[in-house]
Amino acid sequence: MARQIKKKTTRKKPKSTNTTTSTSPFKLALSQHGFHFVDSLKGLIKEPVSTLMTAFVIAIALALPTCLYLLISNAQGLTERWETTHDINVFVEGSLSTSKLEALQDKISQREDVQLVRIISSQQALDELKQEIQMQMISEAIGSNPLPHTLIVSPKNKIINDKTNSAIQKLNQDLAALPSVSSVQLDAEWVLKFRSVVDLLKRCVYLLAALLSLGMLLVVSNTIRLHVQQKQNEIEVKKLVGASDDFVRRPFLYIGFWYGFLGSIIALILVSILLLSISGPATKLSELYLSSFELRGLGLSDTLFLILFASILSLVGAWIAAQRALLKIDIS
Amino acid sequence: MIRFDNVSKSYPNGHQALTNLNLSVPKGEMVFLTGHSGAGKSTLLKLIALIERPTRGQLFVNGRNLNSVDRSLVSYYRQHLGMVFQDNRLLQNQTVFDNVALPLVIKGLSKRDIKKRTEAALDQVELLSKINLLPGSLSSGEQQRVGIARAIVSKPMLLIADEPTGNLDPDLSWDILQLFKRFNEVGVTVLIATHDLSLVKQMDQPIITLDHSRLAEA
Repeated sequence: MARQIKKKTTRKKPKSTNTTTSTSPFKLALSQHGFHFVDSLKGLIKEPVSTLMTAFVIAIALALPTCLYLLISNAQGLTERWETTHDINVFVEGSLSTSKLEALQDKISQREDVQLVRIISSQQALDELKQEIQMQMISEAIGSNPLPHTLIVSPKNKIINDKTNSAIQKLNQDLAALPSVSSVQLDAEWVLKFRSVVDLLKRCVYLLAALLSLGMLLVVSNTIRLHVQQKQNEIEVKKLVGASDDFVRRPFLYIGFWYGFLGSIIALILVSILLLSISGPATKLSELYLSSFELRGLGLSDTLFLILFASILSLVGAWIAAQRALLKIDIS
Repeated sequence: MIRFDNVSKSYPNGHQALTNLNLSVPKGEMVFLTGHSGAGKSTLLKLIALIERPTRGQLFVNGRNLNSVDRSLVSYYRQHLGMVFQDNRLLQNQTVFDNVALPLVIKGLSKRDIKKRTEAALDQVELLSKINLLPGSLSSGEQQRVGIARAIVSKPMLLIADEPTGNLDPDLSWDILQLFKRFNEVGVTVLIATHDLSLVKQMDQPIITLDHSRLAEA
């Protein structure tokens, strides 16, 4: 037996040095990464309940801001459709003569920020009103025409598209300050207000997303810390037989990556379910107001961003936890 | 192979484990390290494995001063050292194959080489038939042999063992020591710490005895 071993070992010695030197550092790293990549996933699958629980916590932390983000991007989509209603109604005293009214029209249409000015005289307005409603009785009762002249001012597009709303507000104020103008009414005023509310909500969602991301980081960190504690014996043995810190840390980094990846996939499923469940009522509602409104889902780039963001964030969380825990287990 | 140059080791709690130790183990020798419990046997092995560092003095392994091996190189150093433990320290949730293959996986060998060398190592401890079992289903003697296979799978120049027969009955202990002897015969330097004097005497090999942290006169 002894002779047999002697033969074996002497035969293999040169071979072993050969194989070790022929493995390039790149190949070595790749094979070790591949090993841990698969091994960490296997480990997680072995304990499906705890894995899914952690993944779900991450998924909810991701799904909440994602849903709010969708809500807001849909609301923004709505305001884009309302741009045709940006006309300003300028009401002019009914006693003003036609020539003076036309002079006022010229004056306003010369402004740089104005596209078009149309006149609806008080007589025209009354005629339209009479056609719409049977109110001869009333008009006879009133006697004279109580309606003002109206100038319908259409602002130029660049002013409408200005997100800060300051240009359109300035036009509004300027028009109101004109002589013989009794009042000014911005049709789209509530659209502008809606826009500012959406803008505010957007900031809130970003803040919430940041907070929940931090929460997710801590959840992953804590879970990885428990994983490290569980594997304390294994880590010690690995270190004793020559594993580097990198080698010992790597499985935990991959576990972190998998948590983030699984969490983001579950989050995407949750968001899709939510979208599906509200798309019916949303379409019904939109049919009452707008003809062509479609609930906007996550695009490809949004989806990829979510998966990448969650995976990287979990990786960072895992790194923090593994680093801290491994320093404690240092055997040398 | 191993040279202790006036080495002392005291622990933070004040325990003096080794005092002014001078000794050397030549290349290719098989040496037993004995002494009462607490004499410093384990500490001596821990210094060689860089699990502990000497408080004073210098320690050379294969011509290399271990004081110069800094933290980042310890793992690389251990890859060239075979270690066997009293409680075998196997990973109970992994198969015999995976346990033995671990040092090779750490080294980053190819799958084919890992398989070949792991099987060869298990063949040498005569456990090839148990390759896919979990350590828990093996006898304690077999588990210790798996531990030895893991220690020799990366073909170290030096094999150290801390009470490798501590949990075994005399017959199994004798088999295990014979196994070490076989590796020694193919050129591996072997240092075994044990308190089982009667067994050691039968082996007819050099003995280093520690007594209260110092070298005892032979």
